[in-house]
Amino acid sequence: MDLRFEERQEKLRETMRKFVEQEIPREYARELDEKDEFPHHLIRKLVDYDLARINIPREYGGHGGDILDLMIIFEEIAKRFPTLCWSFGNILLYGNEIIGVNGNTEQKEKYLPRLAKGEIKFSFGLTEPDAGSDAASIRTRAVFEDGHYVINGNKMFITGAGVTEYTITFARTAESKYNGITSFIVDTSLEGYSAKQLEKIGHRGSNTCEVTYENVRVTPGDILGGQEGLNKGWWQEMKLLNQERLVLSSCALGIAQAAFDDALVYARAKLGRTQDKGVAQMIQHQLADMASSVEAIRYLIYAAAWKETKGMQPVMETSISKYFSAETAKKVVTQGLDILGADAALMEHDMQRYLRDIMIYSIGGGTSEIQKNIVAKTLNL
Amino acid sequence: MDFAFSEEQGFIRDTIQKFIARECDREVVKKLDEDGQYPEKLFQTIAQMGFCGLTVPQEYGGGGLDSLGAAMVTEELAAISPVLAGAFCATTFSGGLVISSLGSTDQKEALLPEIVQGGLCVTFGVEEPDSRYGSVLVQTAAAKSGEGFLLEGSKSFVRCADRADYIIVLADTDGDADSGDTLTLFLVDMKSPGVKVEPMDKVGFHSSSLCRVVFEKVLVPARSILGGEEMFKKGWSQLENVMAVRHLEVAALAVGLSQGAYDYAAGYAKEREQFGQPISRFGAVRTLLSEMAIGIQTGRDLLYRACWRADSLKGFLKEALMARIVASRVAQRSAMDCMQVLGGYGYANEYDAQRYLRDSMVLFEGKISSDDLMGSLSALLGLDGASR
Repeated sequence: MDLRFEERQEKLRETMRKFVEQEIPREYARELDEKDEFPHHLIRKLVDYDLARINIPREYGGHGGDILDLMIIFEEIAKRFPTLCWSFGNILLYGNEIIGVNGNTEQKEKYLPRLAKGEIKFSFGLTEPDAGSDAASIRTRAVFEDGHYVINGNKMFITGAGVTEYTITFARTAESKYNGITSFIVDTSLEGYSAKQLEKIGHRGSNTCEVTYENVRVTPGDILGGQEGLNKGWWQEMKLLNQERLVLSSCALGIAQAAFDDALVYARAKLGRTQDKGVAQMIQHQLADMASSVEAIRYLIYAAAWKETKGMQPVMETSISKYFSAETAKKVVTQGLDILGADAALMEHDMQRYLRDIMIYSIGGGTSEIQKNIVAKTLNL
Repeated sequence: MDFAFSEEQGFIRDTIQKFIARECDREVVKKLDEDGQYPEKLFQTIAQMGFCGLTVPQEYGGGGLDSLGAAMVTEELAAISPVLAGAFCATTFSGGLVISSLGSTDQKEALLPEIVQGGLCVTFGVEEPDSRYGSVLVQTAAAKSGEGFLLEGSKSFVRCADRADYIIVLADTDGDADSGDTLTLFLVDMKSPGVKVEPMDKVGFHSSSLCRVVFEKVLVPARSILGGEEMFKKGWSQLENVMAVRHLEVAALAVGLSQGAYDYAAGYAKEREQFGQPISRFGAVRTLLSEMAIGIQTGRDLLYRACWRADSLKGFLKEALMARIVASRVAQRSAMDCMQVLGGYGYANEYDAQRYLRDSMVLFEGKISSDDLMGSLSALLGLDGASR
């Protein structure tokens, strides 16, 4: 047994810490949150640090990194500005991973080198206004006509849909609930595609959109994985679920860590003023409790990810990670609110943003309830 | 033992519910929040309905002491608009209830009739930038100067200071304070020269303010001491009542906010279908909503008990504090779980779940964190080693 990260991974973490300190000062993160604008500038910087190719296979010019690398990157960014995790996810997760895992050779050759250079980004269009947790009930349709697929329908909560060059669009191509879904690589400049940014409480700047497809025409060559991908969309997505859930877990960890770090500084100042030793212990124990939670999240999610890199298919462990990290991080942040008291509600402190940001992790990428369904199913209940 | 409400209390709840249905729907409140606009007109309507006199004795034109009735109104308003409820609290609790119980005859005669008319907003200035409630550290000083005092210092987390007519200020009135009671509560006119108000930027309660109030050589006449001149240096004993009233306010706001979040989530869950059925049928959602309902009822019962003690002229600090602690926790949990029930829609500004969550964070106002509250409660229970 050895729970240490490899030297290469430690170096990556070091790089990320430097990146965050240099490129995202606290004040800048607050400003971006307030402005609610997509962080193009920071994405550019990440590309300049040569991080966009980290999980592209070596044969396509990448570094061949794995899920642990992604989690290290996301955890460190999330400590300061989790919106950027999602935006970078428009390259690493929805671009590199989707094309790398499900694309055919032609698609890999076409998109991966451009993703590596930050020239293009991808969004992920699955959720619909009436298909959330019940994702396979999507109604967006792609009908084959004169050599083209014509897509019509609506998507909801699609992150980056208004700023990405491509969007992976899940559409119904046959009636079967799970075997009638095809994913298409849709160029967002095509006629009939439109995305409207939603205003929301947290992860501001992520450009999460409501998307409309009105007779958007794509070719059979745009099916993810080529012709063979027809009606295989659901199963292609399944292959990526572990990746997405683990990455989201690392974001939740980063936010929990940040909330703990801020609470620690605040608590120390408070302890300096507190004369009642009993009250001092209340504060100390609150922090001890938070530290325990953060530690538990950290080892749980990295252990699941390690299993993933070893090809052990940790489906249950991944769902447990996603569920536990999201719910526990929420708890840690509320304890941070308790420590700061009224100060927590002020914009001059980041604790209120940690709460606004953390709330989505028990919802997006499969709610806590869905994760528990998966765990229960794995337990043959 | 009797848990029944009086006929009048039933009427109060009924009337306020009808008012909300008629004039204060979700769209109105949403617009006010987005524009950061104070609900002046809505508040005036409530005042015209006579609810501002609920905590004022009949001889001053009020309805007699009914803080339970006032808590009910607060609750109903907070379910739809915590900001509007806060405005109501500023008049009835901070104003009516405090001045009725602690004011001098002159102060009562001058201010209570105005409160009944809804024309007076009163706020508290207790906490300071560097102080905490547990360890009283009052740096705001009032030095004797001719017939009155010169007030110097600052207060933070003062609700609605930009529209308040009066602020109840806790000040140190002893230059070399090392023994005995040195604190005095002043009822300061906000229009006095030297009073400066700076709004604090906060995450919720967007249509009302939370401020820092700075006093720069503010001349305060001796008759402005809360309760009159004989209450000079009696601020510490009065503070118990002031704090108890503040706890009641927060508890009532929190219970109302929680109920609003519950109603919103339950309504959504019955409408929203996934996997071919309303999500309210799923065990997960039923658990979330049932836990919310239990929490809300617990907070409400504690609140009503504290109000009942206040209305029976019994001490109610401990009960109000317990109600506040429970109700604040429930409000946070309810707002969070409301968002969970709404899923992605809960995160979008188009829906109200995010507003409940943002507002719930501001309920902590008063610079009071959980260790402060528990520190105070444990002291009231005699657990701090000090003799009481």
